[in-house]
Amino acid sequence: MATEHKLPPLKENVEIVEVNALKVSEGDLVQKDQPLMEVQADKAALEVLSPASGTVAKILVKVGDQVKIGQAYIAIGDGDAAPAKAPAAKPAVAPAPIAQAPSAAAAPAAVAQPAAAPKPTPAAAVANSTISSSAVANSAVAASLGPVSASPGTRRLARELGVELHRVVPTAKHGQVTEDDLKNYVRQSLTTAPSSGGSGAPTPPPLPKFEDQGPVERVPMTAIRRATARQMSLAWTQIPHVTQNDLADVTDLEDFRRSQSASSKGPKLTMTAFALKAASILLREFPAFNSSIDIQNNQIVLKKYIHIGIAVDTEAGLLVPVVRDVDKKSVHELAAEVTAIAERARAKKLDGSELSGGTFTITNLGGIGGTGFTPIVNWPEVAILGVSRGRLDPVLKNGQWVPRLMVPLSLSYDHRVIDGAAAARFLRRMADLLEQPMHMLLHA
Amino acid sequence: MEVIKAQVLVIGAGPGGYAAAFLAADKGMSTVLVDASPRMGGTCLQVGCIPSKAILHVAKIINEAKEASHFGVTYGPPKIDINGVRGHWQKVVENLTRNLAMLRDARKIKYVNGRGTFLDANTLVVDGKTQVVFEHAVIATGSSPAMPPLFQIGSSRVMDSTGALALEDIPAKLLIVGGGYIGLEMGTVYSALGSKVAVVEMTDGLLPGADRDLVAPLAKRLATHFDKILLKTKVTKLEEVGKTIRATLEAADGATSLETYDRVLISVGRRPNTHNMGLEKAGITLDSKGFVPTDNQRRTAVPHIYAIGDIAGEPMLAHKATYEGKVAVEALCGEPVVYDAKAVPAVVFTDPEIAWAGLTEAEAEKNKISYKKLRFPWTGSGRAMTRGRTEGLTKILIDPATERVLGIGLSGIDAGEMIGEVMLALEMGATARDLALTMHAHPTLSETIMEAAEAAHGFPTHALPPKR
Repeated sequence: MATEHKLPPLKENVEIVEVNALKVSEGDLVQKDQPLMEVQADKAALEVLSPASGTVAKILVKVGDQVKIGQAYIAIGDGDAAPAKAPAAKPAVAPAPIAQAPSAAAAPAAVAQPAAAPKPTPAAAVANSTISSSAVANSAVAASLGPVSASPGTRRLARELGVELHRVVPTAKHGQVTEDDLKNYVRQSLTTAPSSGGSGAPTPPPLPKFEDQGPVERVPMTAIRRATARQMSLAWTQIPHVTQNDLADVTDLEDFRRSQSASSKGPKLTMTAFALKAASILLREFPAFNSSIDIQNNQIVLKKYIHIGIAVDTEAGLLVPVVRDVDKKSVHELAAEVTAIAERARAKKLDGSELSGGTFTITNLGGIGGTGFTPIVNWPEVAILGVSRGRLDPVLKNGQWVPRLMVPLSLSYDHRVIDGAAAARFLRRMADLLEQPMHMLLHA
Repeated sequence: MEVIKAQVLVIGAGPGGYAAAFLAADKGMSTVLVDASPRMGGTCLQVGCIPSKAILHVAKIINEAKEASHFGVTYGPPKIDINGVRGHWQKVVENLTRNLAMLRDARKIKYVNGRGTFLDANTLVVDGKTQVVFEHAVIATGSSPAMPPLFQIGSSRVMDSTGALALEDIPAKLLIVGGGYIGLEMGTVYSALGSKVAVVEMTDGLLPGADRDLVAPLAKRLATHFDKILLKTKVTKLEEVGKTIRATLEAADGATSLETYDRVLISVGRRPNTHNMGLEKAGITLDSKGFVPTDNQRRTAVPHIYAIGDIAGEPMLAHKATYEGKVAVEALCGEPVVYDAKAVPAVVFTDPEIAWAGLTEAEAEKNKISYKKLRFPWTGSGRAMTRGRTEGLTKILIDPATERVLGIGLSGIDAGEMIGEVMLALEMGATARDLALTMHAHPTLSETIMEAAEAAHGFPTHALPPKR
């Protein structure tokens, strides 16, 4: 007798994962807690451990599949040939109730409000049927993910509220989405995104029919692409962006870097490692750049730690692993850590904790090219430094034109917290530190 | 030609159409209802569900009076006045259709009696006399009994279900072609009235589509009430010979035999009424089976025209049509609804009745859905015993991992009345434990659902737990 197992919750707020790799095959003997597959949950790759020991009777998913939490993904049979023990043979011990999310029953009466959806007067409604066609489309998406267990009343309410039930994490037994779950979801969405009044960006207008212009192909967005899209929309809609540009003369730094790399036995020093070190110094000097804005409470949250995200270009898409406590690490240590973490990102080996908690981000496109760009601040951070490719420019020094290696720096910032003058000073100081790396020592 | 304007036009006044029209009117839209019959209710009320249940009730009384001898009460043989039996169902239908007409008129729905034909996507012509110009239409024209050309021999002795309900006489020998629910229900009636009934079914069992263990108690009882049940048999020819019909029957092995009957009922299925009404002029094309393709709001390829009920696809059942009618009207009002019923209940009103909803074992096996089966035979039911009918069975299929109820099958007297609880359980996503922990009134047949559910954990009170 094989038992089908359903995908357990793997990560907070992740309802759908994508299968990166299968680690077992049908017929394999597996032990409990042995990794069965690797899945992509937002930007983190996670291992799914076997819930039981036995023989893999059937794998119900394949690489690339989108799998919903609660969906059956594998069937594992009894390992040995002994007759299946009737589950009723001993008094069933009810599993201890899982601590429930904030008591659903205690929902304030006010939550019932969204239920009073605007009732279209027939005449107006007849003229406008766009709502219903999107309802159809929504549930077409739902159909591809399988049905959500919810009572008919809850299903109708979800449609009236415009909530895709797959997004609601059930708190009750057996993955049943209750009306309270739905209302809690709506309440949370309202508090996290007060301006758009929904869980994400406002609904875009309908697309033109591209097929009329020529052949097209539709490919599903990967988990990483979806997460990037969500994060970028959020950042772009929440943050009033300004970008400050400057040039840093890194001729001396580059000489130093090369000589060190050639002679030292340590890890290869990179421009990113120096930029990290310089940023950690500046984030102490300019605490506003190491903050988040808490608009709900009219507060600025100044962080006493410095964790810096490094944008890494991977085959699967953009990942931003975080180097923690940058201010407490040497340039050598930083260089080693960046190399290691970028490798792990490209191998999809990062877990969720390595992708969160950043206070500032550096994105270095210098290896590819460009003379400058406008990075998007990685919300809820308030600033991001973009580095472009250095080039030899003639610079007037002591009345002489000399060739110097100039690196374009682009600092995007959240103008709600940071003013232009502060940004200009921050970036000039950054250029100064890179121009005279010895000064970094004073802060080490 | 009279021209009427309608915000919502509903074509067909059956359970789907009138539900749609009533809702549209209640939502404040000017509504026109068109039907070929002067009376409300469509097939279901006039020549379907309601008349057949009225006379099945008569059959039940006849059978129970006969069987009362087991309980110490013996009646003489019944005197049957066929006009009185027919009068019973006609009176029921008369009352129901009149009530519906009152509800319709109170809602100020304009009723146009006649056959509608589309002129274009916004105009319907009724009997060439009235033109309805509409903003939205809901097509609910239902279905008709299938009558293969082979059986169209121009004899009134070869009947469809409507002819059988007419009860012109009680044939001494009745042949029923098709062992589906209509054939078996009408066979039950005619057998109780005194006909010798023979059923011919092409497949290897009665009621194709229902699980075999549910059909078994009925098949066993019908074997004693009916004269013959011929499975894997085809009727290859019908001929009118004097006042009888001679049928050529072909068995599975190809052997043919001739039998003579006084009447023949053809009950081999129903066909959607989608032809000869100008659907193509409205821009609607049919699928290969004659159904109108729709989306999950029952919207056709023409966005302001909806199709519901029998013409929108199987199963052709009144309650599905009603549900769809409401969805369609809410959808055309712009409400975010879809047809998302988890199950459609099926009830066969034979004696015993068979009712099921959700997953069947046959479907589970076909689609490789894993399930656990919980059974409670009615031999363990006190209520069944008091009524002398313990042949029934209650069966629950659950998801082995979550124990959520996937489907329930009931076979036994009054099974149709028990399906309501089943539907609520399916829609609410109930588990076996939910059913087991819900107090059920004693002594009722509904307890069998609770007891079957208790088997999930091995402790049914009135049956022995599974061997360990």
